[in-house]
Amino acid sequence: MKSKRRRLNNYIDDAQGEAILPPEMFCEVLARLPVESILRFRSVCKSWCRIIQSPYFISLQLGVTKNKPFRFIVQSQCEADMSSLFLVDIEGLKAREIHLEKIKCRTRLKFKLPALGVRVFCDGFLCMASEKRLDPVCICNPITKESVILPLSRSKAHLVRHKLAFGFDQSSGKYKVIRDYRTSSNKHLSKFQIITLGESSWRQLNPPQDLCTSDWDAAVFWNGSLHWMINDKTLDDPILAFDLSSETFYTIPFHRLCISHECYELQVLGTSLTIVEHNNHMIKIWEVTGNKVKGFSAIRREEHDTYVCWNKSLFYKTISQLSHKSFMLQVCFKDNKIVKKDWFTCYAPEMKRYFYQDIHGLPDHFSTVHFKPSFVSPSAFLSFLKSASCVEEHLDLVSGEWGN
Amino acid sequence: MSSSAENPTLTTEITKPSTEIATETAQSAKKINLKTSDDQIFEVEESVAMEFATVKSFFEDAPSSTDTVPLPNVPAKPFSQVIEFCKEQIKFKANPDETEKKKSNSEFVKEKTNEDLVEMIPVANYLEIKDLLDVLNQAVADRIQNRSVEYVRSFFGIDNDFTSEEEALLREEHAWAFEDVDED
Repeated sequence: MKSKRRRLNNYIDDAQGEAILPPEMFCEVLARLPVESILRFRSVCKSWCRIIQSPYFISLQLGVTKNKPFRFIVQSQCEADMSSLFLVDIEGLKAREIHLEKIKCRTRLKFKLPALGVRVFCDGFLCMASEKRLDPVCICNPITKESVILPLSRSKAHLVRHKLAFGFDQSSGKYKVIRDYRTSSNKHLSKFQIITLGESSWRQLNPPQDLCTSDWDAAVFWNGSLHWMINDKTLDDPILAFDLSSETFYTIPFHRLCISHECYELQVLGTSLTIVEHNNHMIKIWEVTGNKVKGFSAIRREEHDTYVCWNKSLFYKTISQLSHKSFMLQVCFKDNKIVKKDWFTCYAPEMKRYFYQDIHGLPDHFSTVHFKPSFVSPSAFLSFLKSASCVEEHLDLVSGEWGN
Repeated sequence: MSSSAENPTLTTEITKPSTEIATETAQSAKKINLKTSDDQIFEVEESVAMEFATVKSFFEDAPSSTDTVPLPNVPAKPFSQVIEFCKEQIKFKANPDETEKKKSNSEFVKEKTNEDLVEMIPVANYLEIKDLLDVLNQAVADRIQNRSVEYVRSFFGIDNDFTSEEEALLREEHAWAFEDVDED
């Protein structure tokens, strides 16, 4: 306790000695608040503002936020409208607009963040990249508005596909990004690269052939590994995993034939990795249990009637499980294959009811990612930034190539 | 609520000479005398006093001590409320019931004023009562969560030391965090 106080005192103004609570107590209270309140209370006084920026508070808040339910970040799918992110407050039915152009980037270059789509999240970071170019890949914290650019590939190849996966390696305490890309000259075979935040270059990765030749929706980070559900009907075991610590691939035994319909997704619901299968009137949830040593298995956890006949014009994606009794769904309405509208709705199977979430300010058509807001700076992981000037030089070289 | 909460005499502030206390306590469960920063002496049952990690380690260092334990950082008013909390907690030790415990905890904080809560935090911190700290930190967080900056300043008795320009700049940086705040 004493050492904690000594550390904190560096952040406390002497003039603020009048405060009733000892400084570390502000941290304990503040860390429990939603990120909106923390940002607002930076204005309370100078010592609070400094506390919120202290490494002690940042790691305390990260610990608290990791144990809280996910929040959601929404980005418009309409290209003209991608310059903002929306932090969704489900309870308060609010969407907080975060302007991407205000995000600082540690380069001399005029870096146009809005030109990049949001791809994947891990904890409080989002990873963004262009669909058509390898460079740049950007890691940003939308709350502190800081961002860093990962080492460049200096490839001018035109991509037909660029997918990212992002996770945290508990054993080294570092974040890792994996990307899967196909160039126009080799449209049917993916190349995989991996980088640890702080490394100076991407490394080639050799995944099993299935992953290189097939398609997958989104990688899911769970329990120290990234997981892919491969869209290939000929595969018996379609779930492939990658251990971020040992950097090895393995499969999770889940027989595709267990799923009777084509519409399914890999999802973290609560703290479990699940396979959510939905057809026009049912939702079935399979839960992956076990670990790498003892082996994995997937068991059927629950099954509910949806009471609504879903179809190709009106369909949904499971976003999260709010309690044992309800799910948050993102519903999409399409007319003539053109998306007209996305919205959130809460589905309570036991009550046989849907509750429309009237969240003011959301874009018409959006993508949703899970998010755990934190104050961690992405540059804290970039030890190579001492050679940041060389990154800037590279950026200057490719700057002309960035437009989407 | 349980019956003991309606019996406030269990927390007795003793001002008698210490020799008299010794003869009295010999008849019932062992009692421990704790002296607050404003020189009030509290006679507390041993089981309650052992909830205070700071007091517990005092007796671990000097097991046979019968002295009054000084608590130099603890004023009497919040201390009596801390004792009230710990008495309730002890009941759940023998008979753990998470739902009842949560109910009892939320009732405890519900009837406290903002000032009570803020004053109890340093006491719970000094005495190292983790459960109480959790309850208090969460209760304070719940009370200020949707409130304005001005409300929080008066809640904690903090003076604003920003210039209006500095404050406007902070506001502008995260304008979205200032939307939809509860009325004071």
